[in-house]
Amino acid sequence: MEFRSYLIRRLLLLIPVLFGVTILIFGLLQLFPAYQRAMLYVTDPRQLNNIDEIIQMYGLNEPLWKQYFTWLGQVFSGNLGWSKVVGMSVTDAIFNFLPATLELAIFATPIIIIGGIWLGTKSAAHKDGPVDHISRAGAIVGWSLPTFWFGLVLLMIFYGYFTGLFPPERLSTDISVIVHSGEFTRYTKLNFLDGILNWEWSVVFDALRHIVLPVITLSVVNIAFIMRLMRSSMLESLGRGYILTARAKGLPEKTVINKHARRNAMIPVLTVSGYLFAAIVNGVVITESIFNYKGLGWWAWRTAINLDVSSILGFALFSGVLFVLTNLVVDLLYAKFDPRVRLGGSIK
Amino acid sequence: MKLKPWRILGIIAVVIVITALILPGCQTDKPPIKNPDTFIAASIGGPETLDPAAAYDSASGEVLQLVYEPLVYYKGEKTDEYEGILADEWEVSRDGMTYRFHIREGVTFHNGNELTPEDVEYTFERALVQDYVGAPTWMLYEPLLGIGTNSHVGDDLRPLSDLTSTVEVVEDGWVEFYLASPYEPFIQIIAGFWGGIMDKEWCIENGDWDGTQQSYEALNNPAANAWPLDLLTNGTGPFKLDYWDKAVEVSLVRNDNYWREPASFERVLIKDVPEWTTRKLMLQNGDCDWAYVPTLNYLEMEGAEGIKVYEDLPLVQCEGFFFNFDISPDSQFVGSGQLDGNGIPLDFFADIDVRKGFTYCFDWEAYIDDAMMGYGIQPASPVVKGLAYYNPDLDTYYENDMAKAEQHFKAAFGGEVWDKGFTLTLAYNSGNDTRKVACEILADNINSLNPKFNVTAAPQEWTSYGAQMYARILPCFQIGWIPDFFDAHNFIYTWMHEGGYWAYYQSYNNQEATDKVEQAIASIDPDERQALYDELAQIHYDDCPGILLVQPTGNRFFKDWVKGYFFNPADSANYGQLYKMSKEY
Repeated sequence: MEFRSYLIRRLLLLIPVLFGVTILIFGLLQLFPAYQRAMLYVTDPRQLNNIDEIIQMYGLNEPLWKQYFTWLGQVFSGNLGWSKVVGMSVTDAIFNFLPATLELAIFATPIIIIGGIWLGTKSAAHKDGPVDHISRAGAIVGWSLPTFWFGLVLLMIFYGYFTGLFPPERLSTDISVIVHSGEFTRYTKLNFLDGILNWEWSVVFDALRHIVLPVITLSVVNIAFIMRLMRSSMLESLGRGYILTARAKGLPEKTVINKHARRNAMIPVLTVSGYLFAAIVNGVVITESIFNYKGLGWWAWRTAINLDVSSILGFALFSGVLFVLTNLVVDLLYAKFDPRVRLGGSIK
Repeated sequence: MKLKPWRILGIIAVVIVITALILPGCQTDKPPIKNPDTFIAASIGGPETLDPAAAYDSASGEVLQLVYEPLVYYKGEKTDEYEGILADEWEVSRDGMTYRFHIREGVTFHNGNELTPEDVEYTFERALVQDYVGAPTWMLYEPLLGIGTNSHVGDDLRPLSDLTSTVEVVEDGWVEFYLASPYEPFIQIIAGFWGGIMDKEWCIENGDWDGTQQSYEALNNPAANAWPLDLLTNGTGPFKLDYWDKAVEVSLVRNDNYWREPASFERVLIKDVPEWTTRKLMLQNGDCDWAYVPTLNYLEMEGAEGIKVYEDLPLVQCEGFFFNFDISPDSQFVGSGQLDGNGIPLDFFADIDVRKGFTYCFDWEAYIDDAMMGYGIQPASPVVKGLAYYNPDLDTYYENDMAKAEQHFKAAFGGEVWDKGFTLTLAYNSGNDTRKVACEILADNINSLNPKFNVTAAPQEWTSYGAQMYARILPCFQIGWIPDFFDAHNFIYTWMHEGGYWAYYQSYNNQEATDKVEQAIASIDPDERQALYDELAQIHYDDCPGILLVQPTGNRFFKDWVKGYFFNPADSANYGQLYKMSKEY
């Protein structure tokens, strides 16, 4: 029962949090003066003669609270506006670009988490040894690499020098034509999955070939982050009394590290991993832009540099909601799996 | 001996490096042609709509020019000679008021319907009916119903018969257009991608205008992208739309029932690749056949292997500085708003000596060499090279002459400008380095004349720059123009007619110029038109309402296996006319 009431309490708390998110986002919009917000509705310079009319038509000079509720009403009816940059509604754009990013997240997140945990464990287990030094140095370098630079270097080497080994974009020309043909059904818009479902292995292979470089780019930076977190958490665990006990019992070192220390050390890492997944789904702006990989991040980049405000707001709202929900899921998992987390009841 | 994993990795790495070093050397002279039957373009941005009556951006035009066909089009590289496309014959009445086209027989649309003269009539009537405010339809209204008209008279819709009486099917497959007054570039207007002929039956089937008043009212000036044919196409052109994956690519396939020989390419893919390095690598790898290369990146492409460059193509564009004759009191760029050394009065540029002082301070050589990297020429008139009535013999050029500039500044405002000095900010849109350099050249040279002159340059975010330009807040603005059609009128009207696009926003109103612009377009005598445009160039020089900065030239970069490209500025696509092109060595 404890868990259920905790769940209900958390769900109820979501309402003010989401409300706060919308107010923040709407507040951001107010940084632009009315005439600039009106420019967003202008598709032809000749309309600029009537800029006042546009301001009036879209209620851009009405009191803030009125504008806010108009906007909120639109949001609730699922209308987030028109994304000028890609020529479709913002809602359509989110659904259109989400699968690509999801595909990226599905491949990158396990690599980052498993790789980070493994490296972190190794590093902590061999503290101050060569493995530790190398992986720590590697982590600093990886963490410090500017994504755009690293991505470009990868692209130049694996696409430019080894001609066409790992190409940019999501699919090659001939494969793209297959995917768009009438015989191919795009069930999920995740190309590798659709390839399997359609039993079209050339699509699966091509999708994987295109995803290699973005995944490497993402992994190198983020593994470093998880690895450092895992290492410090692991060191803390290794210093605990129960480890000493385990060792005193004569358990093999492998068991002590993998079973006793690592399991406990993984809790903070799992928390961060939830956010990591959310962050990747929210669009890895630079990685996607460099590889012309058209996901949410690519779209966010295009809308930002074109000041496509309705898209920016829609994207911010999507990100906000996603983070709030991820936060909830992580907290719930925490409560479920870590008995030390009290669920708000009295200590028995 | 058992090899340790890191040793195996090391050996693999060494093998890869050695192979990589050797492999390029083993390549034969000519690598095999990639995707030999497909033309792939790596472009930036995608179409806004596929409705020919609504599209006004070149990315939409790129697709529409492959799918739809006009009655006539420009011949080869010319912009003043035409060839019949869907019209096999045409004539213009002696008074220049009636244009007659004989519609080609035996042409079918992609859906199999046959092309009829009624389709042609319908196409133009439909455009007039739709009259979307951001569409190119004004170009039809201007000649057919008179300058400055549209589908409204005040708040009311113009009677439908006014629109439908401008184009009629007459006997034996002829269609006639009735103009409000002579308009020589009319033939160029119908050659644009907005003149692509549509299938009447198919349009009506898909919910478009059915000829009735009710449907006219429902479809007039629709909301953006709400028109029925936003995503659907059915033309007579050499390619059919296969799919349009928005923001990713447009795919077209060959029309095998084309009325001419089918195209050499089976498929055309126009990809949206905004990141320059990716486009560059794609072109080098042959994963695209043409890529958009910004001027600033021309140097990077020098000597690139396997790339064919077409250099110094005269783009029909003109970039200029426009002085604002009546600055808005809201402007934050005019300092104190007084001629007291700390600002400028709002009518600062109404003084001709101020305008000439500014103009003589501009250094074209430095600008074209530094900001344009040599890719441009100084125009003598808004009628730039490539337009009908361009006159290469004009000598109405200003040059950088600091002595003359000083002389004019000393005369401005009865000597007050020189005595009191002034403070002024020149704005440019941030990120546009060419415009930044132009502002800096002007500011540096003006400031060097008199320590009391204080001109600075400040970046403005693009939408803000545009809005302030239209609100007349900028004391002067820098902007360019690309042609709708290739007649002097398109540029001279913009620059010099009181209602012209830029002239209007700089509040420039020279009655003599306005009259001559109107007189010139209504004339059917080429000699008279030429004389008038030359006179207008002289007026522009004498009155100096702005600085004509540059007519840019451009390069086009193809993979070397692409054959058949030629430059015609009328082509929406920078890669030319694909129907006439192929991939071969």
